[in-house]
Amino acid sequence: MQEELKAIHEQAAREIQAAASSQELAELRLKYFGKKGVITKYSRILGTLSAEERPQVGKAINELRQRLETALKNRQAELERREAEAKFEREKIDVELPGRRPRRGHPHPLQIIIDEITMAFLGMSFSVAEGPEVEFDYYNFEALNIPPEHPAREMHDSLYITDNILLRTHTSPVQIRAMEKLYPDPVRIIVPGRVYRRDALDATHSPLFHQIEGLLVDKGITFGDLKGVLTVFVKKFFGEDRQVRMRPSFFPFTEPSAEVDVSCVCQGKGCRVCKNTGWIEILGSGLVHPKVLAMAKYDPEVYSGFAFGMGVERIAMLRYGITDIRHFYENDHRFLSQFC
Amino acid sequence: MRVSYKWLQEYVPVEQSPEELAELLTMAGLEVDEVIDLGASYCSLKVGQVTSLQPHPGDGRLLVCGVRLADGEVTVVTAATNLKVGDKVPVALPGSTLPDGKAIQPVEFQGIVSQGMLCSEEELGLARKSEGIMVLPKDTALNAVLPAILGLDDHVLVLELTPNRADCYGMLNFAREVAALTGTRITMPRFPVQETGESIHDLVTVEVLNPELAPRYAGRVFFQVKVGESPLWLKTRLLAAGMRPINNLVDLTNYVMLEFNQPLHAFDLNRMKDRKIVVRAAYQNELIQTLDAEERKLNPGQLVIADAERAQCIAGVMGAFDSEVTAATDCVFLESAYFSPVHIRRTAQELAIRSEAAIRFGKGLDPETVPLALDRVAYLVQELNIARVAKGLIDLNFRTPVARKIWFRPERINALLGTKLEKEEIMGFFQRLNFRTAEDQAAGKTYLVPPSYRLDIENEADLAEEVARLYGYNKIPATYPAAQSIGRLTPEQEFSAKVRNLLLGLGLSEIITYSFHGEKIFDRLNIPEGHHLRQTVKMKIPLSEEGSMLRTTLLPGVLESLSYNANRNRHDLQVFEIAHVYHPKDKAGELPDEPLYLAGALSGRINEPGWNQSDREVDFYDGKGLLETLFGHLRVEGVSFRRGEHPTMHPGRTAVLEAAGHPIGYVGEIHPTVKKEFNLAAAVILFELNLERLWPVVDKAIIRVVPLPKFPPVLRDLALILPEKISAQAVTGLFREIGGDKLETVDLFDVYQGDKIPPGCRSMAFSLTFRMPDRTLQDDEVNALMEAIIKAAAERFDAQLRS
Repeated sequence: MQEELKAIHEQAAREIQAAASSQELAELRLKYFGKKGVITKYSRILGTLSAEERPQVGKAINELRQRLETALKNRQAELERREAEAKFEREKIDVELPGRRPRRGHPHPLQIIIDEITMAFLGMSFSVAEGPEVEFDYYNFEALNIPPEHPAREMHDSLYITDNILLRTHTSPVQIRAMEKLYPDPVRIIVPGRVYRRDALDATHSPLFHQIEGLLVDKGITFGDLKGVLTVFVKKFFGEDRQVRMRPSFFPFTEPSAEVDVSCVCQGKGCRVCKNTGWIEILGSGLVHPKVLAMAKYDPEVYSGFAFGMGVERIAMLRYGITDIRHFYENDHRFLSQFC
Repeated sequence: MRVSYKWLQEYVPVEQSPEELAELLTMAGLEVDEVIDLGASYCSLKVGQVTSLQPHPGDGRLLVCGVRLADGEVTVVTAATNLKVGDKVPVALPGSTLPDGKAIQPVEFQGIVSQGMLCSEEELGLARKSEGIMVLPKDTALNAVLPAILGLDDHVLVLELTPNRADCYGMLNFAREVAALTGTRITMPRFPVQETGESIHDLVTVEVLNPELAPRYAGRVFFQVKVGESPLWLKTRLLAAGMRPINNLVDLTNYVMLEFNQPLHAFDLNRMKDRKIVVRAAYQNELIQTLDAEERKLNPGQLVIADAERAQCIAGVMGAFDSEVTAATDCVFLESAYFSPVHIRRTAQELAIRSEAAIRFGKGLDPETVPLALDRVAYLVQELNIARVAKGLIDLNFRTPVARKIWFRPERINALLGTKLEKEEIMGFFQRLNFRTAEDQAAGKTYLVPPSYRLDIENEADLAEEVARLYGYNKIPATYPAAQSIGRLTPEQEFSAKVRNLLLGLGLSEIITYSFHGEKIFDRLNIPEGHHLRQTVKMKIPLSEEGSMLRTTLLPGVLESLSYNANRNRHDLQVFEIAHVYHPKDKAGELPDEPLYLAGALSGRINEPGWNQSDREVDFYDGKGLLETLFGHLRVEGVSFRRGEHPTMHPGRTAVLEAAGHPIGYVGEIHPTVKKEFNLAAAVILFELNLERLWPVVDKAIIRVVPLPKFPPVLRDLALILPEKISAQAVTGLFREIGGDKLETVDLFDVYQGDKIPPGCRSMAFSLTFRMPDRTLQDDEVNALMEAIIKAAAERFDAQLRS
């Protein structure tokens, strides 16, 4: 009997190991454990055996049953693993093909610059002020100490709508509007916006361009404060390693006036961008002219302030290496899609 | 403004190199653009001596010269006839370049190779016209450097002067500035005048009829004038300053103009009728032939210098051909005047003349210089033996002298600059700048009086700038001003920033287009005559045909961008622009409204193309869906889309957006006519809306979270066959009306027309979610609601249940 069981075990183990599919394995389970199965048959014989033989044989059959169950289970797991592998292999794709790309829009480079400059000044407690693009001559010129006979007030330099209304030639009129609105409170604003000049469109001129203006009016504001604020701005916007240099200059609405240069990335070694000077002119600035303060009711004996202004296109051109201003308004996808 | 470094040194000692001086000036507000080495273009030229002169055997008009150089001998062929053996001449050898850029190479003249070129003054740029080869002084050494011989071993500083420092257009004022910056003093040239012969009053009568336009008018008379060529030193001075030498008298007046910043004009006195000089307004349509040979018509707004009969000069702008100094001139009236700068600017502009004199007069000059410049010329004409000077000087000065004095408060200057300079140090700066002080003992005040040439100094702020300049802008300590306010965007500014960022996230790129366009764009946009969009703000003088009015809609820019890209074969484009449009006010003299608009377009394929992407083109529902998503994220509430009309959009595929009963914008497919007009091939969906009208319907309350449901939903689908005219919105409204708070959501998941649906009808399939927040809904409750919905839909909309 023991011999028989051993032979069954060996054969069954062989058959289970050879089973190539879950189906074959199910058939083997039936063959050995089914109603007419081999093991079942032996279990039935058990009752016919003597009391001495019975425990021994019973134990042997149990052992055989357990071994075969384990073998079946292992084989089943093995087959399932192989089938899964085969399935994965069948389902494989070429991951090197390009993916489906959701569209993402591209921000306009001028807006990137405006946003960055705005962020820098928001961080220095400046607010953003806005004003009309179609403006009275008074705000655009007169209140800014630009006298009637000044060349900028000629029809051929500015775009007039009526005798005393024109397209603003700079963002500076918003200085006056802000002071009128806020008097006698302190003023601490920047003004981004569109401005207009009677210029023919070419690589470096456009009848429309963008400026960012700044104005700070309070008691006891000094030229040193102007330097301090612009230095923080330059380091935030251009980089901490950049230096600031100020040179005397002239604007009708500031006195003293200063041209502000930032050190070039070439670090003074000389390059085409800075024309070998090591410095790049980026903005005009100065203390608010006493006549301008007085026009807006701020007493120059009590209040002082500073103003500054820069061209957004110029800064974008410097930063991105753009050599033709027309790119900004053509909206060529090949141009815009380079910005993100 | 071009400044000769050598000339400058005649007035002021300069220890700095030209480059160092340039840096110093730039940092003091006199920006130097460029430093030019004037001699560089002459360095390749040599001195030669003519050793032999033979006629060319093949061509009698040419001469073959033997020329000895410091290091050898060359043969040169020339056509000049003024040479003799022994003459020293400038020689350009092969490899050298003339000042005009001409490169010299060996040239063969009928069998004889010329190994260089002998130069004339004209070829060297020293004269406008010259005859023959330039002959150098006899004692010129063969190894001498030519620039040094010509006086051109010099540097020129090219300055970009700001309008407030027009005084520095004069060499003397410029030298004063250099002296102030370097802490030295200038040496004023001396010019004692020796007068002879008759009195000026016997030779000429001068009358000023418009003293307000000519507040100072002065003159001298020169006689026995010998017009000829200028000496070399004078020519090189003018050349360095960028002026062409003409003749000795003209060159001298130009020289003194450059020196004193005082334009001068010489009249041939014998050609002035009755020897009269009348300063008067021009007659209406008075004609004058100016020096440039142009006939010009004048008007009474323009000032002229006339003789007894007619205009002989447009005051301060340009002289007349008739009274010009020529070789035949014997007697000259030299004018030095101060004219109203505004007047000169206007006249020069009206006549479109940009003469050196008009530019200088227009910028404003120092009236005190008027007689000095005359004396300086008088001195020089004697020195150079050009003429004799008649006795006396006419000087009609109608100006009332204004003493410009500014209260000097060192503490105010320190307060403005943020410096702590001592009074003495500040005073030292003003002394260097030639300011005088005036004391008001009674008031205990000290005043500063700027020198007459510093017309720009008017107030304390100007004083502060002078101090800052001389102290050094970059030595002023940087400080940071305390803020009493917080820096932030207004809610409206944040809103438009959010719109921008959402649209970028939804795949649209931002464009920036011009704010103006021409009249024609309206036809291209299919906007009919009389349409309100045609009521524009117009420019008085248009910029161009395409720039004559301000836009009332952003669609032109959007369409032009689509067209620009389509012409470059880019048809898939999703763009938007946020910008102002301009609506004129009814009342004249008011500024237009400038509402902030959003416009954009979807065109071409909806998906980024790819090997596994659908090629579906955009349609109306992509545009509408984009706006719906945008509104959802902006928390815009209560915007409805209704069938609408916009001339630029397809009449059957356009929705008008309404908020609070007002139209706020449009979305629609492009009108086929417009599409063709802009040469667009792919599908285009356009949208435009007024962001300022959208802002009021934004839910601005802080978000409060709705608790998540604890009880299960009951889901039901419902397909109805409805007449076409019934909108999905109406049906959804009915569901909500009956479902009440038990109906959680309604989604339209299918719309169908065609087979099995009666004509004029369509089927809409909805999926409804019912739920209560506090208990589980029972099936029979929902069944009752569904029955009520179906019944009501049948009654109200004639709807049938689709089985």
